[in-house]
This record gives sequence, structure tokens and C-alpha cells, in this order.
Amino acid sequence: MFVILNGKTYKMNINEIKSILFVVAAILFVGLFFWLFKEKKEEAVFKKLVLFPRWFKYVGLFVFVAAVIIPFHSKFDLLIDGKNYVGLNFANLGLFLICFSRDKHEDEMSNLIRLKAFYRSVILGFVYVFVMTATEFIHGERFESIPAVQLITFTLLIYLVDYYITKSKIRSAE
Amino acid sequence: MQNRLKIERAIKNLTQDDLAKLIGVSRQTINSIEKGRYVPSTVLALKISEIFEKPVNDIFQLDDAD
Repeated sequence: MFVILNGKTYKMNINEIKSILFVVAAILFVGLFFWLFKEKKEEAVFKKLVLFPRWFKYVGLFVFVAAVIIPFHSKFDLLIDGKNYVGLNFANLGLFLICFSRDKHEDEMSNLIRLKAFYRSVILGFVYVFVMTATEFIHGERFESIPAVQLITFTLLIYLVDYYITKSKIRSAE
Repeated sequence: MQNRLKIERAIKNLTQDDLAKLIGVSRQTINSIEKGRYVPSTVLALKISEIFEKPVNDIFQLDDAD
């Protein structure tokens, strides 16, 4: 890959690109950590959930749709051991942004709905891993653990479905 | 928990939307509180009591199930 910097062209090898990506990921992780734990007072933890701005939802939706569509039209082979991990990771990123961005009206009740949805999705995620691992153990040719990326997709999807079903139930009960 | 939110709202001639805007929550939250599906936090209960100029106990009461 060629990078143009100050009018000069530099050639970058794959390891340099990987290093840059690692540094970017590390910075994002540290930034996210400080953003999440920026509240110094203990009582602030109970006030409201820290969420991304509302427009992150649309970015997440775009990333998710792109991650689902692109692998089918890509000229590169994105499959690793027959599984599309690259697409799944980007789909997770999209889901993550959708799940943890603010709604139009965010208050203490919607925060409680979020927490309950997340609680249920974590429990179901645990059951999912347990059942899938047991199924693999009994019927699989060789024993394989469930990939973490698959668990994250499952948990986030359950969270999203639960959250919006609960909200629509509240709306329809009016 | 029982509440007199709907009655108090009618006395003050406020809609659910008006009250929601006054205390900074969604209309669905007010509706859920009125129907007894959601128990508000102390902060929210105090805000409501401030709007209706009545003590919290006059608006929210414990019932046998609590």
C-alpha cells in the first residue's frame, strides 16, 4: 500500500498497516474506557447510563448493513475456516453502536428497560454457549468451542430485540 | 404502589405530554407510572410533587402488595 505524506510517497508493508491498526484500536479502547468511567462520584453511577449520541445509531445501522452486504459482493475471499469473521466483526461493531446510542427520549424508565434487556441477553448468551458447546460435543466431528464473536452477535441481537419489544409493548398498552 | 397522578393531572389541567415535558421524561414514562407499571425514582416522585405542590405521600401511596 502507498501512502502520500507531505507530497512524498511512502510504501507500507502489511506489518506496518497491522501496527497502525493496533495503535488505533488501543487508542479507541483507552478512550472508551475513560469515557465510560469519567464519572468520579459514586452516586453518579445510579443517575443515568452513559450512551453514545443519537446519530451513532444511524452510523451503526450503515456499518451493520454494509457488513452484511459487502461479503457477498467482495472480490476478496473474506472467509476464515469457512466463516466470515471479518463481516461478523463489523456487523458486531454496527450492532454495538445501535445498542448503545441514545434514543429520542432517554429517561430513567428507558434506562431500566435497557438494563433488563441486557441482563436477559447475558443470561441467554450463557445458555447459548452452553447448548451450542454441548451440541458440538455430542454431534460434532471434532470438539470446537463457540467463537467469542458469535456470542457477542447473539447477545447484542437479543438485547436489541428485547429492548424494542418491551418499548413497543409499553407504547401499545397506552 | 398506588398513585393519584391522573387525578392530580386533571385538577391542574395538564396532559401527559405537558407533565412529561415539565419533569423531563417521555410521555410513555408518565403513562406507565399512571397505570402502575413503573415505580418512579425518588427524584422523579419529588419533581412530580413539586409540580402539583403537594407532598409525595398525597400522590403516591403504598398498597398491600408492597
